[in-house]
Amino acid sequence: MTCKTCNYKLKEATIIKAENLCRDILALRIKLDKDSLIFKPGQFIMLSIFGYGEVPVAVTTTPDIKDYFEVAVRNVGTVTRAINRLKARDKVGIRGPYGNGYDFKDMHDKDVAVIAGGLGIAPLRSLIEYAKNHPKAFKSFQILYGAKNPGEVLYDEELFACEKFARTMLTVDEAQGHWHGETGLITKHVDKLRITPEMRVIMCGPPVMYKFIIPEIEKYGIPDEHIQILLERRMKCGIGKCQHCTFGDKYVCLDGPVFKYSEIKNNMEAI
Amino acid sequence: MKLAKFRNQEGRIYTISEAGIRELAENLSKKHDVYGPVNTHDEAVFSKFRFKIIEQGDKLELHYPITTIPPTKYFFPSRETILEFGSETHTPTHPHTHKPIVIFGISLFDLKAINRLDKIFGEPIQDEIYGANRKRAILISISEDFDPKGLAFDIHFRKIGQNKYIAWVGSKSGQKIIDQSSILCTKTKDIKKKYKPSKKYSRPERAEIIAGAKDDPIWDKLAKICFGCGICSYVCPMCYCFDTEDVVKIEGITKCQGCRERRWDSCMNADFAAISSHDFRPELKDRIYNWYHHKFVRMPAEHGFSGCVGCKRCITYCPAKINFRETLEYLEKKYG
Repeated sequence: MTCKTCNYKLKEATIIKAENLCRDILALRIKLDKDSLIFKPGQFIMLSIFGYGEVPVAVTTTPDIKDYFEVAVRNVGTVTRAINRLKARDKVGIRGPYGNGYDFKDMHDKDVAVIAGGLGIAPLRSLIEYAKNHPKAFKSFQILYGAKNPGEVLYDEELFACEKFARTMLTVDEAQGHWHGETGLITKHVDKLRITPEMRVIMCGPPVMYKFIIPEIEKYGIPDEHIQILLERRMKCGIGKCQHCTFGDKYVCLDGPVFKYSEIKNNMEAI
Repeated sequence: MKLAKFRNQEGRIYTISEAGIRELAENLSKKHDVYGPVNTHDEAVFSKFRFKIIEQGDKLELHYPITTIPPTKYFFPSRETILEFGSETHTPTHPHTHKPIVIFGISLFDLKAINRLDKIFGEPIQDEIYGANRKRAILISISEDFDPKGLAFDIHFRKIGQNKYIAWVGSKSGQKIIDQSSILCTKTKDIKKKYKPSKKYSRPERAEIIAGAKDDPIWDKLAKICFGCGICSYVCPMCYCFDTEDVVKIEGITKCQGCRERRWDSCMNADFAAISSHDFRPELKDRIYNWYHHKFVRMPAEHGFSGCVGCKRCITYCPAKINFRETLEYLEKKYG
């Protein structure tokens, strides 16, 4: 007997493009076979590869595109290794979207700065693309993105092209070869952003990044509730049951993945 | 999911003998799969009493201390297929049987746990796999000293004397069973008892103490003796964290059939809260603290009750002889 309304029911989808963004990160363009994915930037989906398993991944494209959506997956484990071997026309399973997404109400008509570290650019790309399509949604838009080295900078051409609507700074910890961006840790470039106390800061990156970036931002008097942070966890269910994404009294899958810094500041194990 | 909503507010009471209960179970087993506590006479580490299929009423154990694995296993089994797929179609299908089952002889601890799990899996989002498993089950519970106050069940037997029980009907399905076995029981009275289950956690001070005790040296101390084996969560009727894994069977050269399984997990396991770049609970002491925090802080905040029904299984089966009550007492004495 099939279970039609089951939480774990998958929608079948087809890969229409698979492209390596760098050595170990694959970007997948996915089309649902029967309908289109309705989501908000900052939400995540569960991506299944039959026989290997399921992983939570953020959608990296803007919801303005109805035909397909994209994700970026780093090859780090059994499931993601299998995902990194996918190619066009392969079948995958999708369920979701899950989570809250960015708080657009709070960002509306405000100066917005996006700070990304490493693969953290992927979920923020959804917001950046949205800002590109809706220039009037925000008062101003800035992007600060740091990666280890030029080889690991994701979406670099696209991001350099964002100069048209956003102040954009790309930095690498160590520059080698041809590199047109900045050099040095991302924390060193925070002061190059045009920061105002009324600004909204949206961040995604490895936990270690938050530790160093947040004190830098707080120097400018930005209140904690104006900082939105997207947290990463390895969810198994997406519906607040499996307990893998909990910290303190929060569920990343239900209450997040985007949190105001004020919500998680005093919560153990958040970042 | 519609489950027995009856909470002792009104109902019918019958008297029944122990032999009557056994006969009732045997009669039910002719039509349904009936599971109940059985003495397996096999006891090494774990209890010799186990929930098993019942075909003869005299196999049913009515006075048993505790089973190692709680009967919640019928709704949330240790392994369960949640998805099937094949290499040819790639069409995932979701298997589910809805054949009704009867769980006979549930202790009050376990009945309480089932009631709580119903809420946990039901809110804020209904987990439909648990829901389907639960919906097909008829709950028949038994107790010697206490009434099933505020709990939902189909029939409850309460011992009131030598070879004498009262049968408390808790739902329409329960009434139907009693009606079909009217020869076994005698109707005594209709009762109306108002019982309002509290929505607030009864021990807010305990939650507050544990929430503030993350840095107490007790967690370090416990981590030194705890094996991190996770048995405390596997035997706990209130523990429900899980993992999913794909299982593939290869038949011949081209045929490949697979399924996705949901399996019990334990928050005591290393990597439970790890992502590729970071482990949010890297040390055993972090995971031990989380166990207490979930049961006595997060769950009360989320659902209004704690993650402990007092069955003592975690104390009985801990190979390191850790008694969580001693930890609570220590913390409450120190910070209370």
